This record gives sequence, structure tokens and C-alpha cells, in this order.
Amino acid sequence: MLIRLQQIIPTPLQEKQLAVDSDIWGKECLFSSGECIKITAASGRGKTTLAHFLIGLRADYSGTLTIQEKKLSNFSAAEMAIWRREQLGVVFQDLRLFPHLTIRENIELKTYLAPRHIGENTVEWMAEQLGIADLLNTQAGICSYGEQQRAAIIRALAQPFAWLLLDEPFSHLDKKNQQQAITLIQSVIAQRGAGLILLDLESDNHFSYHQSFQL
Amino acid sequence: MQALHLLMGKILHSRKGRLRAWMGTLGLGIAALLLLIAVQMQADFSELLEGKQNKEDNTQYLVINRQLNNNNLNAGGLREEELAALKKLPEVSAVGIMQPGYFKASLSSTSDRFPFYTDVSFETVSSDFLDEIPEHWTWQEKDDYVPIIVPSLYLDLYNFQFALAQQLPQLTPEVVKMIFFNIRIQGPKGELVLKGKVAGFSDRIQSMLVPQEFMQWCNARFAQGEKRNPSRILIKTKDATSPVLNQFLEKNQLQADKEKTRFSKYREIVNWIAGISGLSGLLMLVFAALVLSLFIQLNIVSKQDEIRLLIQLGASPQQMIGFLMKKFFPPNAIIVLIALGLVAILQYLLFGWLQKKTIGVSAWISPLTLITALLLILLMGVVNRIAIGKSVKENPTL
Repeated sequence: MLIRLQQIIPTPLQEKQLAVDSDIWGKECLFSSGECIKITAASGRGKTTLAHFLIGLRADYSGTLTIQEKKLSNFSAAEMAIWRREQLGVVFQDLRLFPHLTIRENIELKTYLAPRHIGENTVEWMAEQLGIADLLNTQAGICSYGEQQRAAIIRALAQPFAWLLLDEPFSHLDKKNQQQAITLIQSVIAQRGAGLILLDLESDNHFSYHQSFQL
Repeated sequence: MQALHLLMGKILHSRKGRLRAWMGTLGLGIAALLLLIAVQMQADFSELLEGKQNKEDNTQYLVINRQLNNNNLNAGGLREEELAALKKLPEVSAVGIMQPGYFKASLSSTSDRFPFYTDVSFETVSSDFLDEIPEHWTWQEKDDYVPIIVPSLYLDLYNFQFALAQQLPQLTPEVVKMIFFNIRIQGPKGELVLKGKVAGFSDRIQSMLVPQEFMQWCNARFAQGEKRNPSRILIKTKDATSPVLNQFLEKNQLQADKEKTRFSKYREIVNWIAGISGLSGLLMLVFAALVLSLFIQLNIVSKQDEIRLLIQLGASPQQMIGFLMKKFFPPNAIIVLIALGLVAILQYLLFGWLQKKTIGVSAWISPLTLITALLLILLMGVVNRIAIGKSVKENPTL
């Protein structure tokens, strides 16, 4: 599933001359199926803005963003729903879990929105891999931010997707938990032949990146 | 789907909206109850006023004539167009012309032992309109006597006033029917004396009636002046108190037996009250539908963050609308059904109460009330669907 960005410049950043030294803003970029993409940027350069453009939450930009050569801004509500629940797994920077649902309910909500994509015990297995198996029946709101971040990663992996979009996904994980998460993500995207877009503050070697960009 | 709706329900469930939900539901219930009561009241009024149970012997005969005042004395009888319009009224099932005799007539005794003499006038009407048809109610030239029907009131006047005052013997109807007397007919073309006899008494028509054949024969032979419009008519109606009939009479300066039409005004008032109660019920319903619609939208707005996140996670508009309809519509439909059940109970209690007063209404709710309840449920569905569709589609994340 091809993602093409052509001369995208966010409206709020247009007057800041940020496009001058960016690899993405105002340029043409092509993300091909199954590629691992790394986008690095300091705070305030628009990482989350770009993530929201890709998810379709915002469309306040100039230029064109296409999915399989169709403008994302022209997607109907139904097409947008399919894009989000069947083709794009997302870990939001601010996680966006329902605090009064349990970790399990937060994860399983995704499996109910789309035709079920994973096996019966996959959620338990993933939770074990990330060390939160004993928290599955705990309300998300009373878990630590690190635990919630791991739950958000499992939620993104539990749905069907062609692309996995991660917005600072390891910001509250220690080295050990970070490595466990990377291993799980690698195995799932390899199994599904999916692409990955990782937005983060620093350069890293978490994945074998096909393309790296400075925002 | 069920698991998804359970989770969505949990996401959208909160304590703070519960009171608002109860208030909205209560308002809807009261409005539905008022409307259904108003419809059932209309059905009961109709049954009381027009239903078979209360109308078995309610066919009435009204004698109608023009209201006389200083401006229309000798102005003539009922015009043809008035008769045609009267026949078209749904309340009027038959119209009978009361044909007067246009000649002078008198009755006198055949015996010197009981002398009497009185000037009279005759009328005739189709036998369909008589309350009692005498055995030999016809006349031919060769007949020995002319049968006459007189008002029962005349005999009562004689027996209970005149006979007592004049010290004369009281007479039974059977005795009166045995007495022959002379009938003298006079006109420009001559005069004639015939034998006559009382053949029957009428409680319905306050007039001396003769067979139609006799009247036609006499008018042809002795009538004075040209033919005129009938001055009185007799109508057969199942509803003498009908406001429509009485308004027609009033408008055309006609009048009928006031005793029989007295309740027309009350019926009109009852109809107005029933209409106003129906209208207020309808207004309440519109108001309740508005409150309900606002309540749904408010509830959705208060859950905007949760709905937005559900949509961000990929919930489609159809999934959201389907879920929200399932959440809001069944309780509303159940409320209408409960209101219908309450009206059915009230109707049954009313039936029992009125039965003791020998007033007949149905023990069951009317089909109209049932149809109204179904339409109400349909309306609730439409209001729900519009409010939910509007709220979901207006969500900025779409």
C-alpha cells in the first residue's frame, strides 16, 4: 500500500520557514509497502502533526497526501474508517486509551471494530511478551504510563494493518521493556509483511530502516 | 457485534448523564400518555355519541319549519334548494314532506245527543314517517269513511282538562276510535260532507293527519290558490343533537323540536374540549420530541471525547449510528408501549365505572389509539435517527 507525500506543508508551519531544511515538508516522499521508515525530529518540528495527517485526523496542509494514489482528504467517512481500523495500526504519542476500560477491553475493542484478525490467545501472548499479562483486567486509568504505553502497542498490533505508525512509542519504557516491544513489533510486521513508520526525537537502530528522514 | 456494543455501552456509560436520561424519558412518557389519552377520549366520545351500543333506539323524527319573525310572515315554506341541502346532510337519513290541505274543513257530530263542532285543517305525510300505522290507512272515493290520525296530546287535553272542566265523560282511545263524525270540506269549487273516524293516535306528529290519497283528491277538487312550498317537513335522523344539523337549521332560519335538539350545544362544547385535549396532547408530543432530540444530542456532546476516540480508532459512522440507535430507540419505544398499557388499564377502569351508570363504552382501547401508539414509535425512531445521524456526522474527526 503506497503512501505518497507531495509538497506537504502544514498550514500552521507555513510562515515558520521550517520547510527549508526538512526532508519531508515541501518535498516529495514515497513510502512503499513493507518498508521501515524512520522520521526524526526535535520537538516542535511537527512529528505528531504529520502522524495526524497520515491518520486523517487533520487536513490543514498544502500539498497532496495520497494512499494508493487516492487523496486521503477525499476519503469518505466509510473509507476513512476502513483505513483506520484495517490498514493503519497507530500508537499515539498520548496513547489515547479509555481510562475506565480494562487493558484487555482497550485492546479487544480494536478486534471487534474490524473482522477478527488474531487468534484466541494472541492478546495474552503479546501481553506476556511485554510483561503486562497480569494487568489485563486492570483499568487502564490506574496503570502507570509505561504500562499504558505497552497496552497501546498491543492494541495497535491486535488490529489488521498494512502500515504501523508509531509516534514516540518507547518514550516511557526502560531499555529492557523497549527491547521486548521492538522484538514483538518486528515479529508481527514481518509476519504480516507490513510497513512501519516510526516518528521519534532521536536517531536509533531499533529496526532495519529502508528510509530515514529529518523532519 | 454484541461484544462491540457492550464495550461501546461501557465507554459511553456514565453516572452524570443518568439523571438527565431519566428526566428525558419521564418527559417523553408523560407526553405519550397525554397524547394517547386524548386519542382514546376522542374514540370514547364518538362511541358515546354515535356508537351502536348507545344508539340502538336513537332514531328520531324532527318536524322542521321556518322560524317566524316580523319580517318573514307569509313568506312561504321551505325552498327546494333548502330541501336538497338538507337531504345531503349525513345526519339526515330521510325527508318527508308534510303536505297541507289548501281548503277549509270542519268536524261535527253525527248525533244530537253529543253535539260538537270544530274547524280543522289536515296534513298528510308518507306512512314511512308514522309512529303507528292504522290497519286501514288508505282512502278511496267509494270508502265509507275517512280515517284520521290525531295527536295523543289532543285526547290527553280532553280527558285531563276539558272533560273535567265541562263535567263530560272521559274517553279511552278505543272508544274514540268507534265514534263517527261528519267532515265538511269547503272550497271555491263547492263543498262536500263525508264520514270520518279517528283511526289512530300519534305521539310523534302534532297534526291531524289523513291518508295521502284523500289529501290529493281534496286538494285537486277544493284547493284555493296556487301550489306552494311545503311549510313543514319531517326528517328522520340518528342524531338529533348533531351540531352540524343544528348549525344548518340555524343558518337557514329553520327550527325543530327544541326539546330534542337541546343537547346539540353541549355536544359542540364536548367536541371542542375533546379537540383541545387532543391538540394539547399533540403539542406536548412535539415538545417532548424536541426535548428528546435535544437530550440525545446533549448526551452525545457530553460523550464527544469518547465518540471522537472511537472514530479515530476506526469505528465507522454506521457502527456508531447502529450502536447509538440500539442504545436510545428501544427504551423510547418501551416507554410508548408502557403509556399504551396504562391507557388500556384506564380504559378498562372507565368501562367498569360507566357500566354501573349504564353508559356503554368499550372495555378495550380503540384501534385508533393503537395506531397512534405505533405511529408514535415510528416518530421516535425517526427523531432518534435524525439526532444521532446529525451528531455523528458533525463530529470533526470525520
